Formats: sequence, structure tokens, C-alpha cells
Amino acid sequence: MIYLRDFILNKHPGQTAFGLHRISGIILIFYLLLHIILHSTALIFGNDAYNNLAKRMDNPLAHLLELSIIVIASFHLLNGLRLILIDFFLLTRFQKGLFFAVKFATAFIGIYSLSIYFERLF
Amino acid sequence: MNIQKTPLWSWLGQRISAIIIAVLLPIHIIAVPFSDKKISFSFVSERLSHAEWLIIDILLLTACIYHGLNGLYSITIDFNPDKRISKWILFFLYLFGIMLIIYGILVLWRFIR
Repeated sequence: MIYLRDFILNKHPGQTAFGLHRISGIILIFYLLLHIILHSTALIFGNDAYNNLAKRMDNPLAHLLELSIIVIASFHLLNGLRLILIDFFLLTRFQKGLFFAVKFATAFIGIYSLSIYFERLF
Repeated sequence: MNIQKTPLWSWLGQRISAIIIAVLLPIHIIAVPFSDKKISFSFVSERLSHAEWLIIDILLLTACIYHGLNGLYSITIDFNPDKRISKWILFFLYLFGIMLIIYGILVLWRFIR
């Protein structure tokens, strides 16, 4: 558990960004697998099975999971852009401000997606 | 202690695939979950009958699988495994990734006939 010690000792926001980026990345790999497996019902079981599954997935809980994946993916995407900016444009000095911008933009995208998902959730 | 590093091509490939995903994923999210149409076979096959959507989806699939499994590999490198073990991990991730890409393209192909 030596790897978790850094999260307690290092209070820099970059450490938080690292942890969140890693957790969101692992979640997104599992989502990608699930996404491919669910859509492959059309390949394996045929069109009717696919339509049935799509109908069954049209419930509030599944839409809530979808919404959370959108928020997680947008965080991972924006934080990844922050890393690319830091790496290629040598912006290490501004990484705290950039991480604040990432959090702000993720919150904005989250609220916008919630407004689209609102009627599917309730 | 012999500390391993991820090679440069891995770092660069992660950035290149990230930029591809950063462009294509918003297009995918706006076109599919944000549209008010319900998901069904005909909706997906109507979208994939346009060649540009098929190219976007295959490119996004390949980039996402490469990016995800490469990221997984660099996580295992952080735990500093034996060099032999990490070679095997890399081999199995490549095998899994290539199989997954072929399977994903077969799934996409199913929708266009």
C-alpha cells in the first residue's frame, strides 16, 4: 500500500488529478468492454434480441449509469488534454489553474448532459 | 533496484490516440446518446450505412482499445514487476487488444447489411 501513501502525504492538486485520472481510466476500460459486449448481441443473437435488449436498457438506472459514464469520460478527456498541454507546451507552471479549469468544464458538461438526460431519468 | 520505464513509443502512442479520441468521442456522444431517438437496430444501421460514420466508429474503436490497454500496461509498469512478467503482460494485452478490435469491427459490420 506504499502507493496510497503518496495521496496522504502529497497535498498538491496534481496528485488528486493523477488519482482521479487513473480511476476514471480503469472505469472507462470496463465500460468499453461492456459497450462492445452489449452491442455484440446483434452479431450473436440477431436483430430481435438486440431490439429487446435496447428496450430493456431504456430504464432510469441504465440512463443514470450512461450519464455517469459521460461525466467520467469528459473528466478523463479534459484532464488528458491538460496533460498534453503540459507535456507539449511546457505549461507545468500553470497546472493548478488548468486543473481548476478541468474541474469547472467537467461540472459544466455534467450539468448540460443532466439537462438532456433529465426526462429519461425521471 | 532495477526501475522500469515505459518506452517512448508508448508515451507518444498514448498522446496520439488521445488526440484522435478527443476529436471523435464528442462527435459520437453528441450523435448517439444526446439525440432524442431511442436505440434500435434500424437506428444504428441507418447511421452506419453512411461511410463516414463507419470510418469514425472503426477509428474510435481502434483508438479506444489501444489507448485503454496501453494505459493498463503503464499502470502495471508503475508497480514495477519483473521484466519477464511485464513482457508477458504486454504480449497478452496485445493479443487481447487485436482480438477485441477484430470482434468490434465484426459487430459494426453486422449493422450495415
